[in-house]
Amino acid sequence: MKKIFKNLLPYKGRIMVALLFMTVATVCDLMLPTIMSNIVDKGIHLSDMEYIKTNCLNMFIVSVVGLLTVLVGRKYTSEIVAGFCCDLRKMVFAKVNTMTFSEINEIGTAALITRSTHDTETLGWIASIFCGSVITIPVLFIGGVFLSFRKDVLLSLILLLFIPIVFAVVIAVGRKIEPLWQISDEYIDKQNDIMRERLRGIRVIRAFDKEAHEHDRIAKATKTMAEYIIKSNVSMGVISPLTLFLLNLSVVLIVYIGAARMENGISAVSAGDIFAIIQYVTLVMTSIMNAAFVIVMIPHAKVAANRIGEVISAEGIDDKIPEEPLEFSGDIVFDHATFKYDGATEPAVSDISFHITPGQKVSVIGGTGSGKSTLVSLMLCFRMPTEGRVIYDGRPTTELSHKTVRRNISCVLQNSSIYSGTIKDNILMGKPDADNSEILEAAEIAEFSDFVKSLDDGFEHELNQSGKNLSGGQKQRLSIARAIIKNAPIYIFDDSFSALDFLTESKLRTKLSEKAKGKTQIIITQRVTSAMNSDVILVMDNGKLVDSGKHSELLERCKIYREIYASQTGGAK
Amino acid sequence: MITEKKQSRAKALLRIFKEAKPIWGWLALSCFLCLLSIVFTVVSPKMLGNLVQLLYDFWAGDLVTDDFAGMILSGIIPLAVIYLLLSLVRLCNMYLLNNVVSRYFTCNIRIRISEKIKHLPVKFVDCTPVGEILRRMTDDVSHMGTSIHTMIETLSTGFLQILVITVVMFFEDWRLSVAVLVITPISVYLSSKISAMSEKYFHEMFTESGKLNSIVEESYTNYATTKAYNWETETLRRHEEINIRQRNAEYKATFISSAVRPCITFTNSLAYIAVNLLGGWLILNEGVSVGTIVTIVLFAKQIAAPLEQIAEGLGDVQRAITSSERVFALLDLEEEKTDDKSFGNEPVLGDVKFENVDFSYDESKPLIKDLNLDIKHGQNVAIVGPTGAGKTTIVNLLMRFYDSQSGKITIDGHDIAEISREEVRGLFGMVLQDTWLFGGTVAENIAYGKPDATRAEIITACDEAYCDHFIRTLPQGYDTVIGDDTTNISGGQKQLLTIARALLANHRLLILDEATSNVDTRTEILIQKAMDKLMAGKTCFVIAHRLSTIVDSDLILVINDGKIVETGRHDELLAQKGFYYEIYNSQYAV
Repeated sequence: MKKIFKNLLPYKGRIMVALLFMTVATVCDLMLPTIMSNIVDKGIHLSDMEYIKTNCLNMFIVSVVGLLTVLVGRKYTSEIVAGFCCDLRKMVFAKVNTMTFSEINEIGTAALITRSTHDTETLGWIASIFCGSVITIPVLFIGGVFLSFRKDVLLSLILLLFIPIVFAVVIAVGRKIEPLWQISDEYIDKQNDIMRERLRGIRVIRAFDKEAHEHDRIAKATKTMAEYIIKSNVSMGVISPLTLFLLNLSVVLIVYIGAARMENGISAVSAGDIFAIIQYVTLVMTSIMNAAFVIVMIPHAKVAANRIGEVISAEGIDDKIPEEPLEFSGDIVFDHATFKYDGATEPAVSDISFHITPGQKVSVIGGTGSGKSTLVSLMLCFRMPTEGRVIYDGRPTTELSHKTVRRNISCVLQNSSIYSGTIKDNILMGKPDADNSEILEAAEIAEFSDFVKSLDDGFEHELNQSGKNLSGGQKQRLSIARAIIKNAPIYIFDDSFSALDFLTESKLRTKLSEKAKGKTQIIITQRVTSAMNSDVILVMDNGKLVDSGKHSELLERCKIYREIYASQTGGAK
Repeated sequence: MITEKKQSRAKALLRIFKEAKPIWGWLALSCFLCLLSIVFTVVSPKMLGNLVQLLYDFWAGDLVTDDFAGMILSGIIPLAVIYLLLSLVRLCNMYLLNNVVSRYFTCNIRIRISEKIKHLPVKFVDCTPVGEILRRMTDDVSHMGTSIHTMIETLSTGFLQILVITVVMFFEDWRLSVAVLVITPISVYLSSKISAMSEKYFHEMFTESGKLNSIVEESYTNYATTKAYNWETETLRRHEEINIRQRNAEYKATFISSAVRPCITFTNSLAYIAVNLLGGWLILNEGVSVGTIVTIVLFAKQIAAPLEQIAEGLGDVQRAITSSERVFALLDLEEEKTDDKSFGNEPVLGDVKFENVDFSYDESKPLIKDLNLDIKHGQNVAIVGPTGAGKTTIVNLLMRFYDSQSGKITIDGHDIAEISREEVRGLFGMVLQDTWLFGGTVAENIAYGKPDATRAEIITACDEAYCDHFIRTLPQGYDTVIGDDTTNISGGQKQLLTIARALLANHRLLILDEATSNVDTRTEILIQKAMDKLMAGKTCFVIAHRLSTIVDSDLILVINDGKIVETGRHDELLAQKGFYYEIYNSQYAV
């Protein structure tokens, strides 16, 4: 919470100015009813034209001042709220960008997205309510109470008596609403989940002629959702008529007690005073009702703030080593490297040792869950080995800046990452200063240029978020082009050819080997045919390096490799 | 893609009103309750005024009575009752509107959207982002519901109040009324102008916020690549750029919209001043009674509240109109036309023929040109070819997910374009690369194509698909709840479940589109037997990258650029040394 509100500090000055102007505006609001009733009571009733004229002028001045100050105040509050939200979004986003992979895993990508979007929006919304009405509440409240006390103490006490009652009612209702809101939110999610599932599975559903069934599921979820929405809306709706009644009740009481006191001559309260107090009561009560609505929102804000707090309090990456202008030779050593995820009982990879020399073409093969991708994480410093070392040119990764290591690796990761922007933008990520001929060359090597040429706008073609308008194969080839243009000393392909047919893959890899001559290539794959022509093949199974060697050697001595080979080629040699 | 027709506001409102037909009666009742509450709101100040007048008179000594407290009490009790009634009526109306609108209006529209999806072509779902449809179904429909609340509670009461006040005022003195009423349209006009101005920035704000959210989503899902390319600074820069644009739009939007209320208050103050000045002059020069002027002045004061209400209500309605346009655009989409011919009572054998079929997803880029195929029942057909050659398109056409633009596809001589889609699809069993499981138990998922299957049948199917063992290791075995995003089973295991599903459903024709692509190669050997069993005696269409799985096919179709370039058995094709030969050898050439 504290950290979030620290974001308000830069706006200190503007907050003071806004408060000042809003106070003046509220004072004008408080003055208007008095002037208005004065005009009627003393002007119209007594037919005093001079009095009417002066007070109309007064009223005009107060109105103009009120209008101008409120506009200036609003200008500042809008600016503060918009700025606060902007800073908050930036803070959360920047923080997530420095989080370690285990921190990200712990919270989960989906949850992080919600925190950076939905939760910051909730806080912003609440901040705007605060600045919109809440900051005028104390002024209205204090002003109203002060003015009414000046008129009559006892009658004003009635006013004070009703305030806790109103608050009690609101808090009671608020407590009831909170869980209802949560439940109705859950049901909205549920309906959306079923709908999303249905749209994604449209082919299977239609193949099994199950549309009616799916529709029934949605209809049922929608109906349940409606029931909960009704429940929470109705409880929320109770607040307004209830507080209105309490407000009116206090007015009635004031009139009655005022009359009684007048009759008994206990105090010198005048009819005009009673009337004025009634007006102040209305003002104060309205401000309290506004405050009440804000109180109902507080639990909402708290939930959002806590969730955001969890993000901002993450420790983040400890990459204090300065970046160095090193160029790796492509020599990689794994020295008894073991990696275990936090809380896992078994290590993901254990005791891995191998040596890759510059310019070697290395394949890593193994089934799902054999630990292949963990090796990639270790090489890219996404994760640090829990035991043992990963060494580049004799220097362990613990002594190198992550940035230095990553600058020396051209990689294509699983689930090819595409960014919104043009195709060109995506390729340029690998080498921001590349010229058009380099882009074209990279696309050609990646077997991607034919597709680009078929587009009307070629490399300037706009891609949707995460490249949703590309097929799996196109995304992979685009990611490969990005790695090729970077042309770092080490290439890593993590299952990057899986969506390509063999012909495309073979053409691509022939051209790639030409371009990457002398560079180290590491290919993680499930396909034995992708691996068999490598200089060295590392066979992974259950987090262990089972064997390594050339295709022919492995075929002779490694049982697991033989099995994989047989299953994929139907035994042909 | 859904494109909205820009309609006039009145038309859109009329349509919302028409859609609310089932609840017209309730809405009328609600309007009546509103009317009651208006009566109470108009009467109560009058009563309070009378009481205060009594106080004034008593204080000034104009009123002499023994039982002043009793008099006040007899005036106060009815007032308290009116106040109570006012709150009760509002409570009832709130309860009524919430129930009726949520249960019979928004809920119905949502169900109709779901119903609509049933009748839309697969093409629509393929081309429309899921988020788009969901947003229409939830947020947009909610806005429409809110608009009904607003129109009844705020706008109708607001307008009615103004109407009542206007009429009463005219009876008192028309000249003063005119002074008040000149101001009214000015302030309504002013507020709607300001709202329209802010609308533009609100729109900008929502657009930027959408973009910002995409950046966030994208950076988090692509986290590893962003790091690997040292791209963090660039990501931050892009985020910041849009973030600042959003801030500026938000600032302008909130500032302008917050100006509405003060402007109305100000114009009302002007009206008040005008009435008083004019009133004073009329009293002095025309001899109009003080009472009349006081009444009108009080009304002039009262007219402010409904005006402010209307100004706020208009914003809501504006939003509802935009939302309703989006919802109606979805509801009005053209539906797939239904074909009701049937294969007849004869059991379908499964002879499949493509005759001169042309097809393209995008008119400007023809994909399949003049495709001819003749497949006899029981044949096992493999379709091979490079990525993007149109292999999956053949599946789309066979299952009638898409219809060919010209030419025809027949099964046992019947043109499938004339037969109901349900019946055509009912012939096929399907295992796709993109596995799909719904949120439910393992057993329910397997029995999806055969809901009346017994547990024993389910277990047999799983046993054959080699997934019985792993299902038993799940926490609740066959009753474990899984879903599309389940993480406790792997992609390969999901695929095994879909194979078991197809085995259990046992259809005449079978489509296997990369059916074992996620399965570990060693497991694949194990399930090969299950696959053989699944395929036995059926007409099968098999699409596979791994050529090892198709060498035994009865017929291999080699597709390139939407055309069949070669057909034949594995050995024949290899002997031809053509395109197939090239593909086949490429897998060893890497």
